[in-house]
This record gives sequence, C-alpha cells and structure tokens, in this order.
Amino acid sequence: LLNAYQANEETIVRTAAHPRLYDPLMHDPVLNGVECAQCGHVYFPPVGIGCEICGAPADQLQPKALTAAGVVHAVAEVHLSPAKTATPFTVAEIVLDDGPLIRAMVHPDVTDGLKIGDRVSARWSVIGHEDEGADVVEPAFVRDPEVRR
Amino acid sequence: VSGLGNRDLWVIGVGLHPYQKPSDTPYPQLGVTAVREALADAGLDWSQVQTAYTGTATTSMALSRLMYRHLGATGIPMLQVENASASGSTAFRQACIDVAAGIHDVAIAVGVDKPLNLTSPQRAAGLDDLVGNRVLPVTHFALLASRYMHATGASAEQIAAVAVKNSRNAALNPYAQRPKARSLEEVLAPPKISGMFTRLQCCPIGEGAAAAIVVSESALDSLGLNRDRAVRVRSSVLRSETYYGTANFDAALTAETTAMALEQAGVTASEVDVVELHDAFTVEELLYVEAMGLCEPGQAASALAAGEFDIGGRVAVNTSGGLLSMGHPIGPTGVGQIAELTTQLRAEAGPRQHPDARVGLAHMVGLGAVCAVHVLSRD
Repeated sequence: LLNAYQANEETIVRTAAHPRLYDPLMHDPVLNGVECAQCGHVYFPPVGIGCEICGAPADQLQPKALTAAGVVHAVAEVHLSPAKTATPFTVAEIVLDDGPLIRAMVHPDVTDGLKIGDRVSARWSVIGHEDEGADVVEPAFVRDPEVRR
Repeated sequence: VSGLGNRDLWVIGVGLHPYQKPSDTPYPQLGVTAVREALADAGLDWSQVQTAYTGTATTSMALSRLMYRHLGATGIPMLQVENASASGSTAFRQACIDVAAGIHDVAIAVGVDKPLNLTSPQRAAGLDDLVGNRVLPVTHFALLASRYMHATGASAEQIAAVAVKNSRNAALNPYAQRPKARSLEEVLAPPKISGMFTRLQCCPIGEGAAAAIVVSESALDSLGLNRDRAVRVRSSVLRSETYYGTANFDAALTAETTAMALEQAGVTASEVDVVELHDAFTVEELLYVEAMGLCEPGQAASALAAGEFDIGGRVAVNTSGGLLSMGHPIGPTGVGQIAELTTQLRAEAGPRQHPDARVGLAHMVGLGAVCAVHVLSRD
C-alpha cells in the first residue's frame, strides 16, 4: 500500500512507521490526537474505549490534529535497545503546545543534543525503505531556529 | 485506623532464598527454602498455616500448589497475586487483609519468581507510541533523571552515589545478588545503558524467594509464639495512578500513598527509622525520599552525601542493599522488604543493623502504575 502525492513536480512516496499516529503524506508532520468532548482533555497517542480523566465513553473521544511542536521536558541518549535500531539514538519527552506530554525520537540530524526547555518541532525522519521503494517515515524532533527579536 | 480494621496484626516469621542470577534451580525449591526458613523463624509448623498468598509475575500461571505441596498438602486456600513489581507487597497486603478480616489467624505471603515469562500490558493492549519497542524501561527512568537533574541541580555523580551506599549495605547481606561494595568510580564505569545510567545503576532481574508469616493477636497467645520477636503491622495502603499533568507520576503516586500509610499508622515521616524503597534505578531513591517527606524537595542528593540515609544515619534507606544490590526478582522483592524491616526492627540485622530501629516503611511501585506502602513497628 503506497501513499503518494505530487510536490515540486516529483512524486514523493512515503509510508508511516506508525500508521495510527500520523498521516505520512502531510508536508510537515501532524499528530493524530484525540480530544474528550466531555472534559476537554487532549490525548496523544490517541485513546479509544473511554476517557482516563472523566470516564466519558468512546463516542465522546473525537479526533484532533495536533501540531507537532512544543518544549523539551526531558531527554535521554539510548545506548542499549531491544530493537534492531542502531545505537546511540536520542529520545525526548516534549510538552506539545496542544497540551499532551509525549515521548518521541530526536531527529538524527540533531548532532549537538537537545536541552530541556528547547523549543522543538517535528520533521520527517526516514527510518527504512519498503520493497516498492517507499520511504518509511516517522516524525522526529529538531530545535526550532532562534527567532531574532 | 490502620486501614486494616481493629484487629492487631503481627509479622512473626520471615525467610528468604538468596536472590541470584537465573539458574537451573526450580522455582518450588526457591519458594520452599524461604517458607521453611520463615516457619523455623516463627516457631510454626506448616500444618498451622491456614492460607497462602503467592506474589509472582514472571514465572507461570498456577504456580502455588506445585510449590507448597512439598511442605505437605494440607488443602489450604492458595492463589497467585500479580501486581508487577509490587506483586510481593500486594501478596503481603492480602495476607494482612485476610487476618484483619478475621477469616484466618495465620497467613503466609510468599514471593517467588524466575524471569521465564516477561510480558507487557502495553503490547497486550495494542498500544503504540512514537518510540515503541526501541527502548527498555530504563529509558523511562533516564528521562526522569534528566528532569531531576534539571530541576534540582543534582549531578550525575551525586545520583550514582545511591548505588555506592546500597552496594555497601548489600555487602553485609548474605541474601544479596550483588554482594560486592562498589566505589563511585566502579559505579560510573561504562557501559552506559541509557541517559546517565551505567550498568550498576540499574537493578539486576534475577530469581529468588521471600516469605513472611502474618498472625492475629489471638494466635500469638494460642500458639505460644514469641511476642518479643513479633513486629506490628501498623498500616497497609495500595494506590493506583491518577492524572498528574507533567509531574512525575511515580513520585506523585509515592507521595500520596506514603502520606496515607503514615497517617493510618499514626506516625510522621520524621519518626521513620528504616526504609526499604523501590530503587530499581539510582535516581528513584532520591525522588522517593523527597516524595515521602524524609527530606526537603531537591535536597536528597546533599542529604545522601552527608550520610543521612546510611546505616547509623538519620534514617537508614535500603539497609538490605535495595533493588540495586540485593536484587529485584519481581515477585519476591516486596516480601523481601518486609523480611528486612522485620529483621531490623527486631535488632537482629547483625553488621547492617541500624541502631534503635523502631519504625520501618516498605515501598514498592509497579508498572501500571501502582504503589504499595506498609508501615511496621516494634512495640
């Protein structure tokens, strides 16, 4: 199953490493969150079944697109992984501007490390290739450029 | 006000099988060794034990009877209690509830495990996040450590010092899986596992067993048990995680569970002499002593450096060596904490005895998250 879209007159083909969590065809990553219509709590990863805060049933848990941007809350370089992923790599906890505290990968292009308090946003990171030629992508976070005041 | 009703409850016997690397020893051998030691310690015969709760999480379903039958099949009620790392603590709590309710007068809590079947509720529930199976639980605590250092200014060396202290205590504990005292240099030596954590800042998951026998006040007299060696169960609290925003949930859950357990026991944090707590990773000990109110927020690293948590210090923390050095065989761990506190409160801990230990507190967190706290005292 390939997904494709036209950009700059060339066909970009991507698939998602985690299909439930984001649409790989978006130009920049957007996260598939959920908002509780009863209490307003926002979730990422998305939850079904019922709301952890107020117990509202599944029909109250509505899809909400979350901007993949926020502030670094915690960070760790991983040296031992149970998966085949090459080490070291870095993971971070990020408080999204939309509310949830999420756990995500730091983009491999970030060579000088992220610090707690850094403003970050997600870019696509290619973590593999399918036999049909599609890039397997996931959102990974980079430090935002400094804004001159 | 113990949260266990009005009946007085006593720990009258404790026993252990040493915690060790996974071996060919069958789990019934591990468990029966601990039970026989607890029976001998209590001055009881297996035929006098009326019910059994087995804390276990990683071995097999239905493991109780294939173990207890080797003590003589008496037909007593028996079952497994699974609550992740808090399985043993929860089995002990169930034994207390059973006796407190007046259902039985002599109950045994046994923790036993071998790491044969490690399972994941996230996997079973089909949950996925952006990091997925690329990290181990250690990375959860590595992230937490980065946050703790940022918030308190503690250094990696100050956090690693937890493992130095606990290894020193374990060197005096014949049941410890890592029985060697380690220097700070050894603790900080590579390889790094995740974040600031080196191997010796992560607890070993091995095998072992622990047992604790709980009796009622009336059984103390009717069975002619030694009241001088009985340790009182002052309170038992089990809680589960609620929503804490961006605050660390293990610390927040520890704070509320400990506060309830201290209140129900009728003691304040400053009256606690010995603490066994969930130090699966070094930073946890510092987080939890602060959450428990044993020192001011952000001051744990300097209090540790000043020797306040040493044997002979202001409040001795993890005299057994803790999960870091005694080991964390999962099911046994929480019961093993009760064994250590009982030994300390009886003043029978030999070279690792904390002077004049009168009030002890046992704490475990478990994946989920859940938290169990027990307060024990000598009369």
